[in-house]
Amino acid sequence: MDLLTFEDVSKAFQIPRQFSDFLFRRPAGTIQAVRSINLEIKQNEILGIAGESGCGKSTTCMMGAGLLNPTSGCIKYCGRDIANMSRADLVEFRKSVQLIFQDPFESLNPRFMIEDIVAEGPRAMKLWPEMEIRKKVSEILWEVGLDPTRFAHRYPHELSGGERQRVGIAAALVCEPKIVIADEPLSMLDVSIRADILDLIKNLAKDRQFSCVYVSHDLSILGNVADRVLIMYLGQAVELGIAKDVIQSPAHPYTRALISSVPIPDPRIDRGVPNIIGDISLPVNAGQGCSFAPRCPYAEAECARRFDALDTATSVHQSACWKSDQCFAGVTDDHS
Amino acid sequence: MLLEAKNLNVSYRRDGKEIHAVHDLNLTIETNEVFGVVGESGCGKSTLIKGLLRLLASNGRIRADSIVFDGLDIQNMSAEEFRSEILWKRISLVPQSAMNSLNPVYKVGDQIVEVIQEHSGMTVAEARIRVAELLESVGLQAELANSYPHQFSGGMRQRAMIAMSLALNPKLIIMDEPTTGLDVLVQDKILRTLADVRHQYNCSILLISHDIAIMSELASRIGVMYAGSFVETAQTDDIFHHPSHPYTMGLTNAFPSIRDLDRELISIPGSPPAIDSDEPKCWFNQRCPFALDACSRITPEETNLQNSHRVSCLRFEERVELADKAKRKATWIS
Repeated sequence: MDLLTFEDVSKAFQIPRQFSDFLFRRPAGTIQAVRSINLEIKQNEILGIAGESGCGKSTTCMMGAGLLNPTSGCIKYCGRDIANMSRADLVEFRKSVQLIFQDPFESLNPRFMIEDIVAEGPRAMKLWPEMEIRKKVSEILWEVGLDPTRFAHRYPHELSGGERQRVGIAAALVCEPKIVIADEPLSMLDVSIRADILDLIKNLAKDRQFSCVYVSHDLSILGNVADRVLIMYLGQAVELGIAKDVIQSPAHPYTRALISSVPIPDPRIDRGVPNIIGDISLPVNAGQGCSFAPRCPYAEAECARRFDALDTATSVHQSACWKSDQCFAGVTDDHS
Repeated sequence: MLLEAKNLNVSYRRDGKEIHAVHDLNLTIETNEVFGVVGESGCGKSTLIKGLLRLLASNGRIRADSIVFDGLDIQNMSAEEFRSEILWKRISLVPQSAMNSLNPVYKVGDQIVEVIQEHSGMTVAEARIRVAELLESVGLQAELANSYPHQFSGGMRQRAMIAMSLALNPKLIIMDEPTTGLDVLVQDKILRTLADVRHQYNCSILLISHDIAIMSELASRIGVMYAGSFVETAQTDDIFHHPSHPYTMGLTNAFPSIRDLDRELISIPGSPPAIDSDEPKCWFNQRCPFALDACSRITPEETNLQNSHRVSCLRFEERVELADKAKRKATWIS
C-alpha cells in the first residue's frame, strides 16, 4: 500500500498587493508554487525530487510533512486525509513523517546537548517513558555512527559538519518514522564526506524500513541514491520514472536540458549544450498548459493548452510532454 | 609566467597561538590559463587569495620568499602602490557569493563606473560606454546598467560581478566559488560566459572551487590543496586520469558523475586537520589508507613527474598501483 498520496494537490501563494495595485484596482497576483501534483510514495522506496529553485520541490515536501496546507486537492497518509484527521491519527502522522534539514549548522539548537536534541521529538510527543527515550537515543546515535559515550553530552558547536548532519538524521529517525523527507541534506557538507552520509541514509532506510523523499537539485546524487525520480518545473511534475531510466534516457525536453547542464568530472567527456531558451520565470497567474513551453525549443501552439498530467499509479517511465515521442525521434542517445 | 609565489605562508594568530592556514605553498600561474584550486573547506583556498590580495583580517600574517606578478615584486610593494597599481588594474577578484556583493542602493552600472573611475583616468561618459561594452560581453543588455541589484536574478548579478572584474582589463581574475548557489542551468551559462570572456579579454583566471566537475570543464591546470599547500598540481587531464596523490584519488572517488551512476561513491574517512605545529609530516597521513610510518615523521618533497605534474607523496613511485587500489571501497575502510 502507498504510504503517502498526493491527489491533485495544488498550492498557490498570494503576492502581497502593492500600493499601485490598490490605486489601479489590480487584483492580487498568485504564485502557483505547485500545480495539480499526483504522487504516491510507496513503502520502502527512495523517491528523488529534482528541479531548479522555484520549481515547487520544497513546497511539495512541506505539504507532505503537514507543515503547509494545500490550496486544493488532498494529501492522504495511509488512506486518511491529513487535513481532517482525528487527534490520535494526527499524533501518529506527526511521528511517522520526519524531516532531515539542509543546513546542519543552523538546524540544531546550540544550547542543547546532542542527547537532548535527539530526544526532543519523542519527549514533546510523549512517545515513551523517559528511560526508554534515553535508551532509544543512544541506540540511534550508535546507528548513525556517533558513539553515545563520546557524543551524547557534547554541544553542536563541538561537532564537525558531517557529525552534525548525523545528529540531524538521528533526531529524525528516533521517532521511528515511516517516511523521512530529506531536503538537500548534503549541500552544506564537504565533497569528501558526502558519500558517507548518503550511504548512511540508504542503509538506514533499508534496515529501519522507512521510505524516503530525497529532494535535491543534483541529479548525479539522485541517480545514485533514489529508486524513482520525479522532475518538477514551475510547480508541475514533468517526468517520473526509475531513476536510471530518467537520467539515462530523459523523455521530457526540460529533463533533457537539465541533465545536459550537469558538469561531468571528466575532462574527456563533452556534455554538449543544453537545449533551452531564456531564463526561469515565476509561475505567476499561470495558465492551463505546459509551463515549460515558453522555454522549450520544440514548443507548438498546442503546448499552451495541453499538459498531460502524469499517471503516478504505475512506475512506468512517463513524461508530461504530449510530444515526447516526437521531440527526440532521430536524436542519438549519447547517455548510454 | 604571470604569477609566481614561492614558499607562501599565511597564518592567523589566535589565543596566542599561530594557526597556519597556508603552509609552504608554491604557486605559479601562466599567462592565459585557467588555474583551478580544489580542496575541502578549511584547506586554505580562500585564505590563499586573501593573502595574495592583502585582504587578510588584522590577525593574519603573510610570509613568502618571493611573490612576483608580471615582473613586479608585489610582496615588497607599499600598500598604497599595491592598491593603485595592482588591484582591479592587474588583478581583480570575484568574491565568494558574489551575488550578494553588489551594493543594494546603487545602480549596477554606477558601481562599475565607480571602479573604473577610481582606478583609471576615464571620464564618466567614457566609463559609461565601457560599462555598456562590459555588460554585453557577459551576456547582459546594456540598458540593465540602470537597474538596481534587487531587480537582477542570481545569475544576472553574478554576470554583473564578472563584468566588473573585467572593467580594467586585468591580467588575472581571481574567482572564489563563482557558481555556488546557482541552479545547474544558470551555472552552465555562467561557465560558458567565463570561457568566452577569457578568450575575448586574454586574461588568466585563478579559479577556486570545491567542485571538481566544474574544474574539469574550465581549468587547464589544477592544484589540489590540502592542509594549506598543494599536494598535487597537474594538467587537468592528468588530475582525473593519472592521479598520483592519495588525496586526489579520494576526491575523484567521492564525486558523483551523472554519466557513471553505477560507480560506488567512496568517502575519505576523518576530517581535515588543524595545522597547529611545525613538525615535519604529511598532513594527510591520518586519513590516508596508504600511509607508512615515515609519513608521520617526514614532510614529503614536491616531486616533478613528467609534463609539469608535481606531487608531494612519499609513495609517488607506486602511484599507478595505489590509484588502482583507491578505487575499491575496502581500501578506505579500516
